[in-house]
Amino acid sequence: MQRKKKPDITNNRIIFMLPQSICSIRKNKKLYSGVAVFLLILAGTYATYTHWFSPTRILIVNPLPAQAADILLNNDSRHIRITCLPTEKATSFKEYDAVVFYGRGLYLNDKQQAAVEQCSAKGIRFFTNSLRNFNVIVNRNITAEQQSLLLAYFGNASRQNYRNGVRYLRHIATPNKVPEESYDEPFTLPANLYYHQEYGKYFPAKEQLTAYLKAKDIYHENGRNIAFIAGVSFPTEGNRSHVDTLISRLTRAGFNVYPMAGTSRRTEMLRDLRPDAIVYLPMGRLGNDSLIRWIHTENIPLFSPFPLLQSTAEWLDPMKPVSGGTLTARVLVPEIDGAMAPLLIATQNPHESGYHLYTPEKERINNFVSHLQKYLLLRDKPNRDKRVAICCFKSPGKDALLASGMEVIPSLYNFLKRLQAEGYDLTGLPATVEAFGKRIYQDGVVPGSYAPGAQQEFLAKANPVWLTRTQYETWAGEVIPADKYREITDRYGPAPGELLVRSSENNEQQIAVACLQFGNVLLFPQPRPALGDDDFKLIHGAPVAPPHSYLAPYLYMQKGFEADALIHFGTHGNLEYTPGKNVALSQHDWADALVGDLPHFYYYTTGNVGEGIIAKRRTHAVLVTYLTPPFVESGMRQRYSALLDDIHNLLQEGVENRPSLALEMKKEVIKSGLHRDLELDSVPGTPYTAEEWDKLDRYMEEIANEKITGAFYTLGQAYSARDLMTTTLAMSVDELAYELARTERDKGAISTEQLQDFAFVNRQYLSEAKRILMPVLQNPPQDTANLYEAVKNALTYKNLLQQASQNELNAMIRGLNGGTVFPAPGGDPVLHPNVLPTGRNMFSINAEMTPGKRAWEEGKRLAENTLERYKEKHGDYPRKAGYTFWAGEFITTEGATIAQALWMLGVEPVRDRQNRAVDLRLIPSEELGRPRINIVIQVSGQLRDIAGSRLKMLTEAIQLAAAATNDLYPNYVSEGTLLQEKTLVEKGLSPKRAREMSGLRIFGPVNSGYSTGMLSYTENSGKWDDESELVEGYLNNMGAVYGDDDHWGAVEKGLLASALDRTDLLIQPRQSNTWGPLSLDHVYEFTGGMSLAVKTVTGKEPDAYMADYRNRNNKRLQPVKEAVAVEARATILNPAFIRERMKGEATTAQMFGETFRNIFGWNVMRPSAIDPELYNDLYKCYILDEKKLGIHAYFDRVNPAAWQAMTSVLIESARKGYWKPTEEQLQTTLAAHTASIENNGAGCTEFICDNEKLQNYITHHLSSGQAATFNRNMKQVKESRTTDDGVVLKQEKISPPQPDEESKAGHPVIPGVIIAIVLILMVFMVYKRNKE
Amino acid sequence: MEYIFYTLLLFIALCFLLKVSFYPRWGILLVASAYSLFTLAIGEWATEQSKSIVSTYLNARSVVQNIAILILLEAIVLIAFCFDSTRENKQPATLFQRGVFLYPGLLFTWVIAFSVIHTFWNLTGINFRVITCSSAVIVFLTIAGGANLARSLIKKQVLRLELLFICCFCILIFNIIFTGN
Repeated sequence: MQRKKKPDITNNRIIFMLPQSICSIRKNKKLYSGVAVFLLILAGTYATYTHWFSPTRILIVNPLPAQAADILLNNDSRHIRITCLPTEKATSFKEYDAVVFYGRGLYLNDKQQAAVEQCSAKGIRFFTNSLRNFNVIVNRNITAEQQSLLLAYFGNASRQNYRNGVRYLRHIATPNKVPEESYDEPFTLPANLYYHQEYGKYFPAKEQLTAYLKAKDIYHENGRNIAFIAGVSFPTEGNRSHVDTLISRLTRAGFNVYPMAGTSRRTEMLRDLRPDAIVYLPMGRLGNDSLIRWIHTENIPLFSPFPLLQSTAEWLDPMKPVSGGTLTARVLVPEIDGAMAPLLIATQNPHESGYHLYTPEKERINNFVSHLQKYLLLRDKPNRDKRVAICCFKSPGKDALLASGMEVIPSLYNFLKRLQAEGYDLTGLPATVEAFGKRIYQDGVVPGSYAPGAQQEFLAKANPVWLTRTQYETWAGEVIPADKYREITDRYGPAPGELLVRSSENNEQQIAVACLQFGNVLLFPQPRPALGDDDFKLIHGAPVAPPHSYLAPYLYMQKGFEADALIHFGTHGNLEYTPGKNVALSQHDWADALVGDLPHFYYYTTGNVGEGIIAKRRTHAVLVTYLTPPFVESGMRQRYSALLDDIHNLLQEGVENRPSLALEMKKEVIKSGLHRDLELDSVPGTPYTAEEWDKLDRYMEEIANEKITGAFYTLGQAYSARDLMTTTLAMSVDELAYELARTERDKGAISTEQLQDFAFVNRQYLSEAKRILMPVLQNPPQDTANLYEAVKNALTYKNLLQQASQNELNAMIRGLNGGTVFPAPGGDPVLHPNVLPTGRNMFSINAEMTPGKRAWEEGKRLAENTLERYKEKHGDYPRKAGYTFWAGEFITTEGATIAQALWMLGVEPVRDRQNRAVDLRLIPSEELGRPRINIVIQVSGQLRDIAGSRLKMLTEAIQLAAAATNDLYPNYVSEGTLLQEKTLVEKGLSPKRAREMSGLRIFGPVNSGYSTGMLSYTENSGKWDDESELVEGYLNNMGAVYGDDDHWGAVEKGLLASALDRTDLLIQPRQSNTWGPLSLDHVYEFTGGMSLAVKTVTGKEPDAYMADYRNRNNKRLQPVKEAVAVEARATILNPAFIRERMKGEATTAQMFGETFRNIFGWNVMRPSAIDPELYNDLYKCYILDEKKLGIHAYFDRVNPAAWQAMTSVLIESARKGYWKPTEEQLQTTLAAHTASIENNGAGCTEFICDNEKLQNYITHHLSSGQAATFNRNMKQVKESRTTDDGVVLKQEKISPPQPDEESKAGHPVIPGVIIAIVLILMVFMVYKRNKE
Repeated sequence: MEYIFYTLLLFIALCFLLKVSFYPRWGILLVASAYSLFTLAIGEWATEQSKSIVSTYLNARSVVQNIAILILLEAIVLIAFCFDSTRENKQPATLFQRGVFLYPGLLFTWVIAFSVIHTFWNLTGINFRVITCSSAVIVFLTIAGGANLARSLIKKQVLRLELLFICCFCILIFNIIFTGN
């Protein structure tokens, strides 16, 4: 029997519906031919069209958006097609017939230049519109005559010229094309002219314009004349609605506006007009130094509002900062001229045609005009009628008023007395400064939200101004946009909030404004910018709306008191650190809304230019600098002189030749504790080696030479004769010592290496330099011709210092009279004597030119030093270096730390002809000679705001280094990037996002904030138990990336932690002699914070150095531990320093408390930076007062709150285990603390009053009687805390991340067994069938 | 849970290869090309998928239920193909029968997507385009090679059909376990 054949479905054909026609195509030759002919005709038509009829394609490169819009909108020929591109997008030119470059700021990279040459060889026309010979000029395939004509068209910007210019280009670039477009000859603008709103009307002289204004009936006989400069060739540009709006508004406000344009005669025209004010929409400087000197001498205020090349939406977005060339040209450069009011007046938005046109921002224009009116009104109003509001800064509780380096109460008093002498109404001003101080502490209090008792005491005893809820809400509605106000009510509830409130007799709620008023002068302390849980997240900015209690005094100042001018007194407050845009703020930014349109002045220390610039730009403040405290002799050289001499002798004779002396000296060293600072051994029987003695020698030289400041400066009080001498010496002695050394080197007496050895120079020449300087300074000679240069400079410095204090008052008075304040750079006077005299308006530097050439060389050298040191210590190169960037250092060193970072990567800047760093070059591996070191950077908000373009450049450098291939040495940048990408994918980012983010390594505060937030986290030590809890705060607060436009301010969880991985060392810049790692909290905040985070992430604490730029002749690296030890020995443990500081009053005393808090902060963040013996030394010095300096009596007299802060720190350190006191030490400290509270009341700063655990610890270690007294005293300020539920602080405990739940299902064994069974079955079946 | 999911995907892939092995050779190449193009097309999308997104999907009840239904449907179609292929009736195939024959197994796209995503996760530092193109090539070779290998190793169609049937059955079992978890 035949077996039925099973259907063989492999042979089943799947029948598709194949088109029959395809089969028959081969048979249809006619069709082929037809198609071919058709294609030929098509090609021919296309060729004909392209050659004769197609539009002429013109590319415009690097125009301003408004210029581009002008050109495009004035092209009325459909035979001309124009494309406008920014330089970086112009990568190919072959699609065009002609290319026009706008030369201003133009830079073409190698690829673009090659493309230009290639295309010009094919006949494409290239023309550059530039008259200045320092721009890049590219002209190809055009004759000189054509070039001249094109310059005439595009150089004389006007509607007609743009129209005819592109037609002319068509004529020369594509002469064969039809139809020919006719064009007119270029219209040449008069070189220098006046104009007004009416297009086409120009006036050669001011008289003609005046006549025109009269004829138009818009001339104000008694009106002030305003010179208005909108641009070099502005009036004829089509895109000018913002200019016309501003002219119109100014005219309506009663001014006679004289718009002028021109290059060659601008100075002459200004001098001829002699206006009452100048309004300049800046693009670079107004004029040369001579013109600037003239306008300030003539007291003509210069205002620089500006249009912004951002859309309205971008402008209102704080994550789209103003940076790069716009920041430089529109804001920074005018600051050099002393310009004021950097307010935005227009944005650029897409027109319906698709191009960008200026849009006047009406509210901003009105704000600016109102500001200008109020400023000039100060000239007319008699002083007695002027109402001045002064905002000062105060620590919470009973601690002192604050201003960096300034004794505030006497300074404020001197200033008020000066106002009184100038005729201001200061009725009721107390007769003495002591009485004035008492009034401040009574009425000018800033109670913390954690101390309701203190609030109640204030309300009972002080005389605040009470605002009703209705009043407050009405004013808030006038000043704050509704959506911003809603942020406040959402967070803090309806007005008037919870702090300093009461109900009036008719049950209306009222809020108190702490203030003092003397006649027409209002004085108010700046309140806390956040409350409750947010209270400790401040002072450098909270990403939250401020509370009602913060707004109230500012609203009262504007609307109730109706101030004519506002002054912020001293460095610094927090208004400028409220969230918002970096510059060109809007009404939606708190800083702008609360200052309003008032003339605003800010006394600011010359030593802090980085933060001063932020105040200037974000609150449109006119800065008036004040001196730092005087530099004084530390006395350390005398203290160490014997030991230093012995060391020098020992080193000269040889250590092995004087063993007994060496051992004696070692005992001295151990006794003083110096060995601990340098991590040397303390074995008395074993002598130190020569290298160790050399190290000690340098270290002691540094301490001996450390520049320290004395009691805080008082405004209006010149340095004493002694302080003048010591400060002048501090400014000039190093300069002279190096000048002497250089002279010796030039004679061959010493080598260049010795010249570069600061210890050698100090030892050999410092005393000689002092010996030369002192008699000259005491009795200045008439004839200075034969003096050393440094000595001549010293005489100049002395004179400038003498002038400074009067200048400071004069400048403020001048400003309050509607005048100008002269511009000047800022910084530490020892490092930058050109900041003198003070009393001037600080400016910054051009970020585009950084790193400067000198900064580049210094940065390279420091980077190489860093690597050498690390390699010497660890035997290999570091994989990653972590940097901290600050604005002050950036400005004063011109970007030397940026240079360090670039050099680590093996990338260098490429400069254009104007010396701007515009591009980057990867240094080949063989040239670099070492691995490329990875970097991670944390920036302050201030630096982010002023140098955004540098951060972008650094990010490009990182990407360039990461992409380097075929390196001879390891590329840690590339390895780090890969590792980071992998880590981010593991943490849950998509591969694409992980790759984007893995190249970003510059981090800063989130939400456009300004600080890490770690100060308050750290010092609220009652709210955390383990230091690692702080790390999450740091990673959250600093987790925003600032590297490129696409991700500016973006936050990605886990990114910062991944970027910190493998960080082996940290670099902190130090560029001022006025602060150190112990005296400035930001040092532990930033470097300490990063150190703790790295340790938590990697398990290993990185090395940490300070990049010390304080000595112009000797910039170097120093381990943080050493820097801390030097400062401790030279200041906080130095009796000479303490004695000097004890000459100051409350604010000076407050500094001690701050230093103690900073020591605590270092112990939290990086304990290895602090010698454990330091606490014992502080105990002996302060609690026991071993040197009998009268410390207890001093603090009791001037600032008990500071003393309580110091003792709190010691006790808290004991509680945390950082200090291990004996029982006696602890009891003595407790006694000192509780006695002060008993005698003076609790000072109630956060450390004293806002730490329950500390208070429990104290009471636990006191006897029951003492504990009861202590509790009673504390209750007085903290009572009613439990009943007031609006301000209860919640303990913010940061919980560690929970591990993911492991999936219980899907254990691999079960499916594996099933698979195995199935496979076995399959194999069995196959075998069985095969057998069959 | 993850391992069950991986096993499920493995069986889906096996089913797909067995199914495609019944095509003529040019059909196998066509399918391989199509899936290769699919791989190229999803490259960009795959780079945007993170572990947390995938984990969220696999833990979302509604998503898992939908997956289960789709797997069930596919398994049913393939089982129907198995039975249909054994008929001795020589009448022209109906539309349904043609469809069942032509249907290659669309769930294999999930296998591709999953594999490509995992490849991106594991190959850090390599150009995404390179990974995508390489994946497309591998998909092509896998399908073309795998299907032809199945044909040559298991020449008898009945045996292949039986294997296909067993694989579908395993898919159903794992689907139940997966959904249940």
